[in-house]
Amino acid sequence: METLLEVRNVVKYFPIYAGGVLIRKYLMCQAVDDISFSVGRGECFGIAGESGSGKTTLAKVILLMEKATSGSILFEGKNILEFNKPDIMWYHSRVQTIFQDAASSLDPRMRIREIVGEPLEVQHNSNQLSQRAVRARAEEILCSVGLGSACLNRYPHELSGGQKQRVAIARAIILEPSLVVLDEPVSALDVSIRAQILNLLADIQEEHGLTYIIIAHDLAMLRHITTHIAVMYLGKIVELGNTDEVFDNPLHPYTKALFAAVPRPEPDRVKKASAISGEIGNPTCPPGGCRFHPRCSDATPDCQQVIPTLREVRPGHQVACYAETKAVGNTSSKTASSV
Amino acid sequence: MTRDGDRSREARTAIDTTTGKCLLSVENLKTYFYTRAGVVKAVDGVSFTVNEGEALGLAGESACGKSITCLSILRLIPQPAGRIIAGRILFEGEDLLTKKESDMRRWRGKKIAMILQDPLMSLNPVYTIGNQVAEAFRLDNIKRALIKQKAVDVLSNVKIPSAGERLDCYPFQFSGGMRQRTAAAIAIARSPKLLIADEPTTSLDVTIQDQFLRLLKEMQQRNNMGLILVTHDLGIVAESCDRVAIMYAGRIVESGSVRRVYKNPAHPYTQALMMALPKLESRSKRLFQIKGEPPNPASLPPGCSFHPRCPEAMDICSREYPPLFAVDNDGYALCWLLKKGGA
Repeated sequence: METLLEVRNVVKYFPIYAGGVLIRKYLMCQAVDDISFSVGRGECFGIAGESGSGKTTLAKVILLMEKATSGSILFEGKNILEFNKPDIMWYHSRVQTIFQDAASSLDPRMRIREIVGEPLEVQHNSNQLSQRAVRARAEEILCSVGLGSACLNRYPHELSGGQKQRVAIARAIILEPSLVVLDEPVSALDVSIRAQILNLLADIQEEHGLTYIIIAHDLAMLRHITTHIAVMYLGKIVELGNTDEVFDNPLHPYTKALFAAVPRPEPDRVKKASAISGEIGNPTCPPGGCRFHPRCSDATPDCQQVIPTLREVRPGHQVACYAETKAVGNTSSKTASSV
Repeated sequence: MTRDGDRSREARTAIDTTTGKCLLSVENLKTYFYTRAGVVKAVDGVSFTVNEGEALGLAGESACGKSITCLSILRLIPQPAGRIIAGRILFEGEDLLTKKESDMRRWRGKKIAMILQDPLMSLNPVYTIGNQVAEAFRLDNIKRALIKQKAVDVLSNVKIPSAGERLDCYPFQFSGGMRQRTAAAIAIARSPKLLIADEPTTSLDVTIQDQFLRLLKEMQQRNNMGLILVTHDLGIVAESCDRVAIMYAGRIVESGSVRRVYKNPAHPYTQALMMALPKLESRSKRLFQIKGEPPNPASLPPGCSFHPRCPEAMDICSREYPPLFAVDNDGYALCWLLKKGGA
């Protein structure tokens, strides 16, 4: 599959003022620390993790809303971190976003058709696209997300939560982008509306051949919609791979604990005692070695020293855990010696 | 509502009564809001019971009346727009709606306590954690010297590490999970008989949510408390509750033991909710979706409020609100489909 977006060793640190008057001292909040992955065209790539794991910062770096500290991001083969202004303009016509809270991402003083038509006006300023053409296109796209022409002249506050999210989707796809970054697209919605929006997103993806990067903490939703998934913990990817493979055979202790903690609508299920204790650490001074080791029940003294890197343990399934890669390494060396 | 009032109340108590002493019994509660846009029937004829040591899950989508039901029990409905216009709330046999406000003040926290959704909102940012926990004991006229020790005890009960040193912390210094546990500590400080938790884990991550729900269950069993757990997450209900009541547009449309409602849902709305959930174990091709959106509580459709969205709606559904029908001797549902011999 053709690679659309490739993230290579991206690092994003936020300086945090930590005292000093003449010589100001800063601590570094390591929000995203050395992350690499690639997203193929037409894929739906999910990023899972608890709050504070750096999911949203990563999305902002991809969207050029935050400047990466180091690393490179290749979009259709071009490094977006070295883009100049016209390039960024082009990039923003190819990559769109949908935010968690549609209500606050829509301008309360603009009518729905203006909100949906605005990206066209911004991008086609030089082409002198007529008002009528913009309006017709906005109407067409609103229709395709299931909103009738009755909505066109309304203001956002007149719409329900589900309808607002539909407007946000319409605005994101009006420029026919190739990549859409969705940050918690359905977490603010009710169950019955959530299913409608998820089905709509799947339909649109198929129809327009879109690639999605979806950030969410709802694991069941990610399983349903994504093809590939990365699990983040304190700024690092701990597990990465094909969605079905990761969900069927989670390898990292954090992924296992995360899956085990999800409440399920099955009354007779006996829930195992939680394997992890405590809370997510502080990204300003993350624990040394494996960042998960203070909460891990299988942690060894090695875990405090060695920073595990992502290794492929099965085809299309990478994990960054010292114990797991060592186990696999042992079996492979055994097979090697027996051969 | 008078039509099915008395008859259904008897039927309901016969159905709902399980083992254990009845702690709270809400009968035909109606809480309306009088606004410029008209009368909003936020809670429209809700009845349920909670026994000692039992956990009832109150589930439903936003604006279905879950929170207003809970606030009605504590008589904390915003005045003057909101009014409880009918019904009885019997707590240990006494009707809370006829009590004086001064008596209610004494009961809140002592007999019935509540945990709110967002602990950042329910904890005061300018007072220390210790001060806020101790407030509960000061109301009980406990000796000053003992209060501090009691506050430490109650905080260690909710598993706040080194609670003694943390009394002087402010809420902003606590993480989300710790704040919610502090709120829980304040709620159970005076060992209430009934605990109402309104979406207590919505602002928490899954692993922290898991920890909190375990703690809640532990506290409930230790004190033999009744628990009303309000949530929109059917997974949480399945894991933490004995019985469940599904609300839609101000009414409980289905109620019963968690096992029966999940295995054999009788109301089309409950069935649709169950099918609309994505599963963690397997990938489904397409999610089942309920058409339309929840109705505006200020202008509910005539007849059954779910009929415009119901895949199995019949003629009668748009004319008359269904009475309750017993389901398998385990709870009830409000749906014409259950009427024997057709409608």
